[in-house]
Amino acid sequence: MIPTSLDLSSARHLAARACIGEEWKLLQAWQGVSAQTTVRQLLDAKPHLPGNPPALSSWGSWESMLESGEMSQARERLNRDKMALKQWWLQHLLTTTTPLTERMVMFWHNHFTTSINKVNQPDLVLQQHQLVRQHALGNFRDLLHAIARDPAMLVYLDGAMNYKEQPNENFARELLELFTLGAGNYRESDIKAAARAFTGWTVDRNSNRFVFAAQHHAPNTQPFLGKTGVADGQQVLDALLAHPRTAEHIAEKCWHAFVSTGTPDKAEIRKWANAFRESGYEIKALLESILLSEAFWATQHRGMLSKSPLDLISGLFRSLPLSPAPPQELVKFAEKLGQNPFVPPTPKGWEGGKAWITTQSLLDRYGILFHWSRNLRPANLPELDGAQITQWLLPTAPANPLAGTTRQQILLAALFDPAYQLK
Amino acid sequence: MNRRDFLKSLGALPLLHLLPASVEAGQKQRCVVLVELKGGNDSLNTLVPYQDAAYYRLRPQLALREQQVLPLGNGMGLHPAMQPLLPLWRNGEMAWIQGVGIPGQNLARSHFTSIHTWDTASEDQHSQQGWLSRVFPEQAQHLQGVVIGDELGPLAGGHFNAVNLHDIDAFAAYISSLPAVPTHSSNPMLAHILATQQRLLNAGAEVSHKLKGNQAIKQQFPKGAFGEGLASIARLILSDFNMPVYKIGLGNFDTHVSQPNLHQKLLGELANGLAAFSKVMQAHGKWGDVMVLSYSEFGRRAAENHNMGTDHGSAAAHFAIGGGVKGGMYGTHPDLDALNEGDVRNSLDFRSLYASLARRWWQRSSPWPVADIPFIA
Repeated sequence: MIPTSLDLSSARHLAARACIGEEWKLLQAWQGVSAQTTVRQLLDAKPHLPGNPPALSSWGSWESMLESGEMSQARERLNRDKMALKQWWLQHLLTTTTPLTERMVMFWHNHFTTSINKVNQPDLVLQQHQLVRQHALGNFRDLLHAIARDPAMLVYLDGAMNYKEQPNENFARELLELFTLGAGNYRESDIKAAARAFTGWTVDRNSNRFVFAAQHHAPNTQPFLGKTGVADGQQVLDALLAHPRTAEHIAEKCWHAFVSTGTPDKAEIRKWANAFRESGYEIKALLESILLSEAFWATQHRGMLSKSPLDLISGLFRSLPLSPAPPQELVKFAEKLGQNPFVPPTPKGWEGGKAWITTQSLLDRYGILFHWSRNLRPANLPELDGAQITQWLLPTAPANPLAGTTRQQILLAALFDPAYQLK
Repeated sequence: MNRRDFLKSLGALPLLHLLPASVEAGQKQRCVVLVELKGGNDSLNTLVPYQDAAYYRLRPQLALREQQVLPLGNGMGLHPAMQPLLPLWRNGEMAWIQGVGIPGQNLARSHFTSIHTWDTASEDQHSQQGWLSRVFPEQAQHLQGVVIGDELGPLAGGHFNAVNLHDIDAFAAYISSLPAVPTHSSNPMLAHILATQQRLLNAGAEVSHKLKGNQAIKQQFPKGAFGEGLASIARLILSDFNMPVYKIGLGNFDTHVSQPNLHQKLLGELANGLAAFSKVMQAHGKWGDVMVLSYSEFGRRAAENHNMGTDHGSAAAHFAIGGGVKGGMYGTHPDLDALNEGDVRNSLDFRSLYASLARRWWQRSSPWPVADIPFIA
């Protein structure tokens, strides 16, 4: 049932999945309000753009450092820039006033993955990150077209080096397998055709902008997805957007991000995908159909997702009155838990779900919660009893009864309960 | 009288193979160290057909020249960065198995579907059972495997008792503070967390009981995550955990661009780490019980691309090293004049590696009806 009046537990459910963490202020404001109204408010909020992006070196300057043989200096600067970018984003995750936008920035970062360690140009990764935020709740067609021309993506998946003599298939392969259709919905020959169509899409090394290098391009002459006349990259993207699998594939990924790690419900996916396509790929239309679906609110799906490391870390600080942690510590712990920001392990991104919880990562999760829970300022805790604390912080009954007599003791017992790892 | 003699005296020996492994606990366990070359290693530039004219035709920029490679005989040679492993080859302790791949690989050459197939030996892309759980189907109380890193891969699966960890000492130290939890939940995600916690509690008891200090061993390994990981594996083996399998990974071998330097660096890390590992095992009399086997999601395209790199391919050569290895070349070097859409052809089913380990190394039955490769004596 889609609630017409949110109780504490339903408010927590929406906050933990569509926003970040279990913010007490949000939960208070949402209680008694309908899901319809709350979701509308979330979707209508004007995105909070993070201020003061870090000043990063431009490629030109440190390429010249590399050339003048100052390798170690250049490397140091590169690492400093990477760290500055990660800290800046994590800080924003802790403080943003429109957490749904950042929820989708995380989603798209794990969809259109790009690793800063391959690109090795933090300024280009920042540019891509801002692009993703600009479109996070915008239009998927625009986002896909923009990503295909994004310099960091062109470097990450070698599109920038895709020449007609011997097309580089890396981008074309992941475009079909990961970004649009999903595995099993195309042939090897479609990858080769797409790779050819994208030849010549590259990055101008002086301006760090997308450029079409006609001398490296040869139009594709082979059929693509059974159609002829798909000659250039734009036409490939449009053919992919015209294919019904693209919207379904995104909808399936949303099922795993917002509902459950189990097999998606086919009828629900069809519904979401149709809404998405009929709107002309408006991401808000997709989100609205998800967040106002029976599946999202169903009791049997509550607490069926695991918190990602970024969920756990930023959620903890957003939910509880803690004195702030040094920004480099936030980054270090995210990496330790298996989610080094801007460094997805493969182009497929972080697997998520059960894979977030391994013997090593579970041990580290408890260690990190222990470390930061010492920053708790108990005087700033809301006045709640044990049952309320459970509903506030845990999506299911605790695995062990929450022992303790004071608010603080019960709260700590909730943090260390395995159920706190769920959302 | 040991257990075997005791059983023999009862006339029970013919049935010995039916007993679960735990009955034979206390006996020396032969182990395998799986080394995953993540991203798809370019095996043509690892085990190099340096007298094959087609190799030079396909790779005008990337081919290694005859004077660069370390000749192994019959026109095959190693990448120069593999030099630290050459003594093992000369000693008859290194085998190369050529032309290994996934038969009828029908899914496009994807990293993700390919490594999943290698990990599970199953065509079902949703299977979560690693191939080891099929060789060791019985429920085990004691630890059966350790993965250094984050992905269980071939060691995954509900009943295969494996843990993953980064640093063995920190792991052992933290684990002691964990509380007990109930073991069941109807929520599958919570059930997974509870099972993981239970596994930690069990592993913690076993690790604190068995792990020996032997910290000094670390000094004998190269710096870096791969060397340090191998040092942890060596310490576990020398602490007599008697686990059948360990896994470690190295990467990223996905060399679409500027391959030469990257490949050189990675193979150097691989060879230096494994050479140190073999020396430590030899010094402690364990080398005969250890088998190191490499694997990777696929080999790379026979022809180089336009970016001094190579794209995704299919078949590849893999190596095994260890005191129990029957050194030499196995399988056939793929015919570079008879490519299949630009790829060398498979001549050996990848599951043959697993079947050989199952039957010849662990003396178990193979769940896969494929022939052995006689690289294990």
